[in-house]
Amino acid sequence: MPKWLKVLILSAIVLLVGGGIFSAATTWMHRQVRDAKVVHNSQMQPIILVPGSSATQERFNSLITTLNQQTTGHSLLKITVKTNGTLVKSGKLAARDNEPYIVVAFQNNHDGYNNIKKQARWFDQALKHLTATYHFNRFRAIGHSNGGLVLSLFLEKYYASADVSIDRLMTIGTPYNLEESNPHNRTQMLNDLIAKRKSLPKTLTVYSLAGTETYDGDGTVPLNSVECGKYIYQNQAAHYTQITVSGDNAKHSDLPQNREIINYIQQYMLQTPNQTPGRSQPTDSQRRMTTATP
Amino acid sequence: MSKFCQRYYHSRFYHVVTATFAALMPLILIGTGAQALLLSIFSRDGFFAVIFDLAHWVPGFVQIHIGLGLIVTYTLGLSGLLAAVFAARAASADQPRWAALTSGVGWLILNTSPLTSFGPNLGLDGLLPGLIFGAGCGWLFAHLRKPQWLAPVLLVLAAALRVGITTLAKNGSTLVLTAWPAALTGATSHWSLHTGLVALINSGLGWLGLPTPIPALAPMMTSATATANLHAALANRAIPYPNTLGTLYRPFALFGGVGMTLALVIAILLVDRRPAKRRLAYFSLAPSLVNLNWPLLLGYSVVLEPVLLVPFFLAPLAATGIAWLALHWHLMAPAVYQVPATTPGPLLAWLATNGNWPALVVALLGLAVAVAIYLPFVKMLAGGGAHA
Repeated sequence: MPKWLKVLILSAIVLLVGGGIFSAATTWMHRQVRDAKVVHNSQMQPIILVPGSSATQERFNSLITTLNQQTTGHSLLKITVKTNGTLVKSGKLAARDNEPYIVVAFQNNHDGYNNIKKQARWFDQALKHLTATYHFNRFRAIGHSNGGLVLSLFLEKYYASADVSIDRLMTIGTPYNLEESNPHNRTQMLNDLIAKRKSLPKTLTVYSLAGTETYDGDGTVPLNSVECGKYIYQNQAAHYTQITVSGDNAKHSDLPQNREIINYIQQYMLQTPNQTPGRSQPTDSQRRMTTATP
Repeated sequence: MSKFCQRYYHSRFYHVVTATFAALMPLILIGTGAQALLLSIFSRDGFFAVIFDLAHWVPGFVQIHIGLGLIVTYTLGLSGLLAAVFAARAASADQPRWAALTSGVGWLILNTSPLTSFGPNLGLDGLLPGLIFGAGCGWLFAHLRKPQWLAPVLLVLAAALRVGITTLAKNGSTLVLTAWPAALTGATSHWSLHTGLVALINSGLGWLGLPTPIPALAPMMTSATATANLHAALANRAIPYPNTLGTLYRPFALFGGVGMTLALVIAILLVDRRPAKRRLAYFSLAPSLVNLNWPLLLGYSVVLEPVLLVPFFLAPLAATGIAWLALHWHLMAPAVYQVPATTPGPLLAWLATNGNWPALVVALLGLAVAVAIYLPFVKMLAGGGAHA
């Protein structure tokens, strides 16, 4: 046998065996990590809603009532953070509800950048209490109006040191540039949000919903101000989607009752729309696991 | 420097070292072959065992595991004792039998505690201590020339020392040997510096043939930082401690064992033309792929060989440095996941990052640089300037 043939056969064997080991090892590792994530992640992944300025913890009642008519098994807990940081709760999480709604409102619910900064800090305190009390380490969040600003500030300033992860954020009619309709006149708040955008989680999926009553806004918030969200999230979050809705209930204060928006929440924010009450809900990955190992 | 080397090569101590290692080689070869099979294939946490799920379908898996374990225990597990025996034989001038027996029995007495009659220093951990003890015994026999008196005196001394140690503390001597690097490195707070320092200490102890604080075969990193990193990675968050031994040193600088000796094997195969050394390198290739390097360390005389001290320090440090740069510039994902200890070196980073291509490239680059660092030194040894 000539030498080149020997070398060729030998390297083919080495390549084949090496490739087999490489792919088997990679498959094994992916499975290990996926299983570890199932164990690591809490079963519960609440949806936390933050109302805008001048709104109380009752702001989302109508939204959640409508949602609960279309879906099953999601309970509701409402929390108001007092100015001294104490929490007042009403409502109760149902047993084995893996995807409850939790509304976090603030006693000081005034507008203005300084108040929003305080609200972000209060939100961080409330979240710490919630994760410790209800034992979850992941959540999704919806913010209406200034609530979206509170969540954005929280994500930039407090999230990195929190023991909890977020994978989806939806802001509804959130004025990223406050009342300013000219995107070239950036407010101090927008500049701050843009400056610290690098600390936003890279795996986050963001939906920014805007309403249009007129051609340039929802009657309260200019469309251009909502669209300024792109300067913060685009190319920083994993996905950033901007959706504009019009028609009935497209006025700023009506947005949480807008049928279109409720459908978007059901479609994009709910992981298990229909939970059977009283039964433990296997997550997607756990379902995969049980089918993989009978 | 070369004058010092020449004097070292002609010293009595160097002669004892090479003679001892040469005598141990057959045992080390058999033991390492069995250990490679045992740890990578016939153990539940072995690399091939987990990726092909061998424990579930290979017939006689448990029996083979036990059998190989016996071979390893009575080959590698006796190497410290036999190092004492062979070193005494080599060091004594005309009473090799007296010296070898006294040294062997003495070393057994010294390593018997109330807790165990088969202490770790009878195995690979005790290679250098055993060798020094044996050389000392041999030297005494060569110089005092009264074996019938010397042997009982030495054994009584050994027993007295052992009883004394047991009375004073219930710790084995291994504890003393491995405790100080931890104490030393615990003082630095800067993580990258800490990693580099431990890498150097690890290489230094490995070169001396002593147990290393970060063994290539430790099953996993269990430190608080590694756990925090793992949790962050599982939650899809940025990891809190990017510059640690678990992220930079273990997955990038321990290919083939402490000292990045897989690079040494490749360097030998590239430039060393001595047939005996090539045979050794070919044999070492398979164990090196599962991070076992004793045949190489003793057979190529890496241990206590001044010429190879430099690359033994530099190669892992360079690989760690490259990994640090790549991580610092955000070119690759951090290595956070636990992998089997017997994972082939170049795959360590790939798997510990859960399949990050840049990490694989960085690992291969580190290996290439390590080979380049070893090459000139292997050439020097192979050229015959210094006989090894």
